[in-house]
Formats: sequence, structure tokens, C-alpha cells
Amino acid sequence: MKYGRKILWCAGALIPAAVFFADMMCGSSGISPAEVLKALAGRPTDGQTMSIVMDIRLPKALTALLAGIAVSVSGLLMQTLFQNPLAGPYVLGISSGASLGAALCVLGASSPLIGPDSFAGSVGIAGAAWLGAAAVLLCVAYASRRIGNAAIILILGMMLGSGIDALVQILQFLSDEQSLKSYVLWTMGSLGNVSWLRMGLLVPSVILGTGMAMACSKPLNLLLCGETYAATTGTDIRRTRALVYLATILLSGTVTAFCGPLGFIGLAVPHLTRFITRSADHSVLIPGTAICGGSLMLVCDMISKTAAIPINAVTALTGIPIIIIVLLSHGKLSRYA
Amino acid sequence: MLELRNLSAGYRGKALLSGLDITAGRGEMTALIGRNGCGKSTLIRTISGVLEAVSGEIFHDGIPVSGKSRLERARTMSYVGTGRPRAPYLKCREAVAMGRAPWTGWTGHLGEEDRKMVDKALLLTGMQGYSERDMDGLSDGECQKIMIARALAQDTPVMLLDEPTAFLDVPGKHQTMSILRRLATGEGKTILFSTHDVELAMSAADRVWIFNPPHIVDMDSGNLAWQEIRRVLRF
Repeated sequence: MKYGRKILWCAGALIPAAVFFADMMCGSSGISPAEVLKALAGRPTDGQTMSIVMDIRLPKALTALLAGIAVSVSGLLMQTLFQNPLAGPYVLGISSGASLGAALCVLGASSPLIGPDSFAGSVGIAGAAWLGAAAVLLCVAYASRRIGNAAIILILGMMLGSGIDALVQILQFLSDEQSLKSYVLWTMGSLGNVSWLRMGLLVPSVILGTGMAMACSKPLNLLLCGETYAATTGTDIRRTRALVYLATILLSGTVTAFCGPLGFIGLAVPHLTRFITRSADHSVLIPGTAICGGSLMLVCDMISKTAAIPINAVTALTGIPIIIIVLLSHGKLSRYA
Repeated sequence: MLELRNLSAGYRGKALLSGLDITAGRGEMTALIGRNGCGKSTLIRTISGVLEAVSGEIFHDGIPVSGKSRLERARTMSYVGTGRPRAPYLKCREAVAMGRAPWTGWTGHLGEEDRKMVDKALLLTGMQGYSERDMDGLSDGECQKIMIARALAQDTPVMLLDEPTAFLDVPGKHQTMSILRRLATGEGKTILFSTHDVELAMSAADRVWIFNPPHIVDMDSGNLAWQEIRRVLRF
């Protein structure tokens, strides 16, 4: 049984690896798979191929993988913490908060310090997004402490998100043409803007955030029965909540800052993972969600590259049907609220 | 033995119940009855440590509970509420195993001893056949039994139950009471449960605490008469 499970996990981990390489083969420049492999292996190829593979395709595929993991795991965390099946970084307005932070940075990027290509600039954008995400998360968290009703919290999150989007629109209206264009492109989402420099921030954020989530598996499981049950079995609710918030901010804040708001994947993937693993145990669901989320985002990236459409449109068109199928087929969702 | 000494309980520093000096014995079942909003849940939440006591102290076997760590407290008292877990694919066995949380490490991995306790809890509540079933598909009565099994797996000398029979039908109520009776008499547990069903309280419990805020009247269920209850609750 235990041995069989290990094999299953290894097989599961092969899926994102396979999709990762498939994604590396896709692109507009028509490089043959053999040449991609050659470049990856470090064999001599012509300089242009080398630079396309190593500086465009590899970071983009890596970003897709990491972004998929990040939004999906943070979605799972929020669904458990808020005891709300429709919670996710996008729906609760947390991505919007991160957007506002990033928008303030991108639109106000006249100073050379906040240019996208310096490490300080990357830290600046990510930091602003973290602050924005944290602000919205704290508002939603405070409201959910006061109001027990999950539906009202969702509506509040959406209102908050829309309100912030309106603020961002005002910012857009006031800004000059150049920064406006870069901002609009950012809102469409892009997995291609993460240079190796930014990767130095994205990789540790995702690893740290996912690691923190894994470390909280036990208290997260206990929270499935509600806070009173968790507290009376010795869970430190405050510490758990603080850790999970921190993980969420790291995961969804960083990704939103660098890739724009990637909608619906964070909401859909945890449900997909529960359906596939038939489990409610977070020590299974967190790695499972990471595998599914990473793979799905890579597939979205392949579609986006092949059809030449913005990634945000693909994630919405992929995520929304999954959510609708879950809502309709499950029938048990009413038990949540 | 659970002793409340000069205990005041309430929300945000405002005492709803005050000056409580009352004891629940080992192997005894105590029913908490009273009107809506009279503080039954507040008292249960205060004893369990979810709410902080406004003033006074709770002793278990002579040791003040406020001095215990979160974990020690969870090893002394377990709680059963009315809420259902809202988690798809949560197996009954997993829900019961959550009761082992105060006894397992940070990963929550179950050892041999833990698994035995889970089996025993399922057996004592008559739910051993439900082990691999999803919580989602259970009736309210079955769900309540699983949550009692969960508290049982927690292996605590004190069990606190907030309206454990609220959503149950008549057979369900009596089954739940006979499980609790078995635990009190057989396992020597101190059991406190709140209920709105006065007749059930009179027939099932050893003692009845009648809430008349800010006081509680402690009575032996054996010589408790309806008139007495009507007098205290004024109806």
C-alpha cells in the first residue's frame, strides 16, 4: 500500500515534467524538438537558438510551472481557511490588491530604480504586490471573523476587488501612454516577463510558500471540522492563520506581481485535485494541487502560445468550465455554505 | 472531577454567569438545561478553553486548568458541537483520527497506539462499519456519532457536548444518550452536555444544572420534579 502510493506520486510528478518539455517545444520560432534538447543539454548549437531556448522558452516554462503551483496552492489554503469552496486569490480580491500595489509601481515607474530589469525594481514590484495582497487579505479575514456567512464574504471580496480595480483604472487614466501600455499588457497576464533576475525572487517565494503550507498540513486538516474543533484539539489557531496568510501572500502576491492576475486556476485546481485524489488530507492535497496546478498552467501556456492569445483568457476559459463541472456534478457543494 | 470555583463566564469581559461554585464528578453525566441564550454554550466554551473565563478558576482533579498548556488542555477535555464538517471526501475514519491530534507529532502521523484508539472509538460508538465512508453521505445522527467517536479518540477524562441531540430524531437521541452513559459508567468519564430536551435530561443524566442567569442550580436528576424546573425557569 505504502509502496504503491510512492509509485503513484512518482508517476504524478512525471506529468508536469512531461508537460514542461512539451511546453519547451512550443513556440513561434519553429525550432525543432531535437535542437531544443541539444540546447538544453548544453551541446553547441547556433547562438540564436541557444538564446531563444535558454532565455525565452526555459524561463517562460519555469514561470508557468511556478505560477500554476503558486495560485493553486494559495487557492487551496484559502478554501480551507475560510471554509469556503469558492474562495481563491482571484475571487477574494487578493490578486486585485496585489495588482494595485504593482500598478502603483509600474505606472509610477518613471524613476529608474523601479525599472523592470533591475533586481531592486523586481523587489519593489513584488514588495508592493505583497503589501497590496496583505491589505486585502487582512480586510477579508477581519470580515470573515465578524460575519460567519461564506456567501457574504465572497461578495465582499468581489466588491473589494472591483473597487480596487476601479482605483487602478483611475491610475491608468492619469498615467502616460508608455506606462499605460505596459500596464494593460500586464493585466492580460504574461508568463514571459520573468527574467532570470526575477526568477531569483519567484523561485524562493514559491518554494517557501509551498513549504509553509506543507508544514501546516496537520492544523489545516483539523480546520476542516471548524475552528472550535481545531482549537479544542490543541491547534494554535492564531499561529496557523498567520502562517497560512503569509504563505498566501508570498504565493499569490509574487505571481501576480510578475505575471499579472491569472484568474480561476487557483479556484479550479484544488477541486480538480480533490476529485482526482478523492482525499481531504492536506498532506496529499498540497503536493497534488501543486502537480495539477503546475501541469495545467503549462498546458494553458502551450495553448496561449499556439493560438497567440493572452494567457489570462486561456486560464479563464480552462478554469471556468472545471468550476462549473464541479459545481454541477458535485451536488454536495450546498453542504459547505 | 471537574470543579468550577467562583467562575464567571461571558463574552468580552461581560459576565453572563457569575460566582459559579459547582462540581461534576468522575463517571457522572451532567445535563445543562435552560432557556435560549442563558449561557449553556458560553459555559461549555469557557470550560473547553475556546473562551477565556471572565474570572475565577476551573480545576480538574485539583489542578487549575488555566495553568495547562493548549496541548495539555486538549488532552484533558474534548468537545462535541452541533456543526458538521464541510469537507468533501473526508472519510469517517479520518474525522475520528483528528481526535488524536493532541497526541501526535507535528505531521499528525498516527502510530500503532493511535490507530488502536481510533478503532476503539469507532467500536464504542457502534460506527465501525462506517470507517471508510465519506462524512458527506452521513445522516445527522450518524455524523453526530462520528463526532462523539472523535472526542472519544481524543482520550480525555472530561467530555463536553454542546447540544449533541439537537438535530436527532427520537431513536438517535436515545442512542446518543446510551453511548454517553456507557462512556461515563464504563470508562469513568466526566460528561457535560447541554440540551433543550428536559425529559431526556431527567431520564439520562445523573445531575441536572438548571441555568438561571447569573446562577446555576445543581440538582440530582433522581428527585427532580417538573415543578422544580418550572420554578427555576419561571414558566
